Amino acid sequence: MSKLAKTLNIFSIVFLTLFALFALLVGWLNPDLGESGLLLFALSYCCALVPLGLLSAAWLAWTSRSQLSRIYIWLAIQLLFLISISAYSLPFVGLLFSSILFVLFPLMGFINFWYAYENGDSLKFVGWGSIVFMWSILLAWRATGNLLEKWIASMSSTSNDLWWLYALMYGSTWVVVAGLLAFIVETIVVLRKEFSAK
Amino acid sequence: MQKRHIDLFALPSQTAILFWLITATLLGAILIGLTGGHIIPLWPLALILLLLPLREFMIRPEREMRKLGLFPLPEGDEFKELRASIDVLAKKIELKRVPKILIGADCDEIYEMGSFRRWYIVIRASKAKKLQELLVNPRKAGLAEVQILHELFHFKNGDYWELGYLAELFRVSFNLMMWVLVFLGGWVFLLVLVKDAFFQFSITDLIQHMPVDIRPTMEQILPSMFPSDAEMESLRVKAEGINFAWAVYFISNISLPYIAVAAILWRFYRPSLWRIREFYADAGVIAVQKSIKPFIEFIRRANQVPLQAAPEIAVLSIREIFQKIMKRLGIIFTGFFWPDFSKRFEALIIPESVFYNWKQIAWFLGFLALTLEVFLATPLSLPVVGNNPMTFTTLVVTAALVYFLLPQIVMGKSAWKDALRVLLVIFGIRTAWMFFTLALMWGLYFIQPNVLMEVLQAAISSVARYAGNDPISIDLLEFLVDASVINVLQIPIIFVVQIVSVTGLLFLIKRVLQWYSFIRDSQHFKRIVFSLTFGVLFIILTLVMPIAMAVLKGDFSSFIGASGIFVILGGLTLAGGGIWFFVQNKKHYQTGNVAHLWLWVEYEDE
Repeated sequence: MSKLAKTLNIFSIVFLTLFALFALLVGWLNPDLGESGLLLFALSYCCALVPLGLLSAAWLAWTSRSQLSRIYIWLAIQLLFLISISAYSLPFVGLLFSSILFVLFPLMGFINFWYAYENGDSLKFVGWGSIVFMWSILLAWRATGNLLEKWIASMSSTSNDLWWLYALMYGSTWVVVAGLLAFIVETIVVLRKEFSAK
Repeated sequence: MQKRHIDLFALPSQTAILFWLITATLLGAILIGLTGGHIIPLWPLALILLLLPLREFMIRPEREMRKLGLFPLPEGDEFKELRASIDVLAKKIELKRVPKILIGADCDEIYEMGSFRRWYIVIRASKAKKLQELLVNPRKAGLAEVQILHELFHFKNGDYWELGYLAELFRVSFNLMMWVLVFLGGWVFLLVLVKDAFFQFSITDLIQHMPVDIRPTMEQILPSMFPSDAEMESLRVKAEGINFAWAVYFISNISLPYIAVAAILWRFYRPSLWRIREFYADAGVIAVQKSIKPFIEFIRRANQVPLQAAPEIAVLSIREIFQKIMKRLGIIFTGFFWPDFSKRFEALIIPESVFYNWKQIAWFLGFLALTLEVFLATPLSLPVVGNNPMTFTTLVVTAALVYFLLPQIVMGKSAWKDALRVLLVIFGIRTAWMFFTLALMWGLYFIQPNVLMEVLQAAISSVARYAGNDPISIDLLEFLVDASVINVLQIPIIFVVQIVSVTGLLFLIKRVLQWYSFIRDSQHFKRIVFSLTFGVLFIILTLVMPIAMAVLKGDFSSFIGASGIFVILGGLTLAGGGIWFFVQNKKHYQTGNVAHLWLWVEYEDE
């Protein structure tokens, strides 16, 4: 690994740790900010911390991509995504998990893609992802009743009752999309190998 | 002393016949089930089922390498002789390309695999060392060459792609149809659940629940994203006309029979393919070595040295337990049918023993016909669906039977009697099945007519691809009489069609073999047999079966339009083929036997 890459790695790890501590601290303090303060906070938060956090996390994901093809790492990231969706509206940790969600959601595409591509699981991803998507809605509807009403009601309340359904739906959608992309890339690669073989 | 034996490679390979029989049955079942008008458009599924196995076949080497941790043979002098031997032998038997060597610690001893243009011989590390040891010893090198040549002939004979493609076709078909069952089934169930709520859904309600500050924006955006009131009303009327229970039944009807056909072919037919390809690879080895001695020595040593047992693993992970179970299942499904060395030896001394006898052919084709008819067309559905599945079975059985009986014709034996026996067995199986189901229907008619009515309604809806709520009105007695008459009469009609076409084809092939200076070599003979069979099948499909079914139903209206053009094409093929045969027969035919030197091969067998 080059010196620059090592430096970027260390910077990313330190930055993400500090970012997490900062989000936790702000959430714990629960500051009562005025409108101008809130605007300032939102601008600095969105324009600096989140994009930089996304870049740092993307860099770390890329440099340690070989680890991403391990099932336990992949499962751990899915679990973090699930926890982030369930906890983003909770007091104290809400800010931390909503920040993680901002960073993790776009990264999920790459993480899923890489896992599917490296393990040759693109078709499994498309197949199982679509089944989980369909059946999670079906079973949720059967178990809890009219989901449309619940969804509409949730818009005007702060409750996050349907977090598990959102997690399954968003998670499985990413799995299907990443599976399709991996399938296309895998096909192109194999066709190239096939036609270039002597 | 060199003795003359029939050359297995001079005739269409039994491996290829089985491959095409299984593939045609699977793909035919797909096309019958998935094309045409449906409640849900299913032609993309048919397209996926045709293309995906090809893609999976090409990706197979990568998957195998990843799964078994295979790696290329290390460069250097350690395996120099092994590499050189494969290179030399591949060129000697004129392979299009030299396979690369892959080594694995936990794979089978030695086998071949590959895609269209990337070929590999996979060797277990310990086996590679043994082969290398044998090759450096000039007195024992022949033993290693037997094994290497055997694998190379799997490439020469096309086994690598036939078996590889078929394995992927089965895997993809099974997985895809299971997905269809679970996904589309879930989709229809969801539609049933959300139907009412969806039609009561109002955008105004939705906007009212949104935070006040974004309402004005949403009032502008949302209406364009959702259907208008008129569109909603039209959708509601459409949905009310759909019987969702029948839609679920329809989905299970298109996927489950196909899964069943694939499972039966995989379990009972595929092992025969695995078994027979070994005989052909052995025949290739002997054809190159011109002697059976190295092969016998190889067999003797293989019987003396038992295969190395896998080391016991004290604590098994879930993956290892799963692999062990799959391996055990693999032994049950494939190893059981693997030919033992005595059979392989017999096939070299008497190559004719590789060909199936009439009982084996009857079992093969009878069971296949029954499977297709049970799962693709039932007597309940035949009167309403037309006769495609029956036609399909007829075509498959005719072609396969002629190809299976070809060795007898070539060796100058009479095949008429065996053809008749096989067709009688198939006729018997079909008749028994037909009478069993008809008896069941009539039994229900007298005991539980309501149950029969429900069963018939479901069958008719599924076959007619109808999922509406309007009840289908049928006169039960009239329907039963029609179904019985048409189905019972179809059996002898198809029997006669098959007898005429099979005996006709056998006669044509026998006569062609008597044409002096007509057949140049084995490849020419194979082309002639293929063209004749294809021509006869085309005539059955376009001319014979439509006319037979029109006579049976007393309805000739279907001949107006596209079907009529096909009948004319069938007639023209018959006339053109007849003229060609007459001219060639006059030119080449002579009484007595014509010697076909390309049929024989010589090697020592003592």
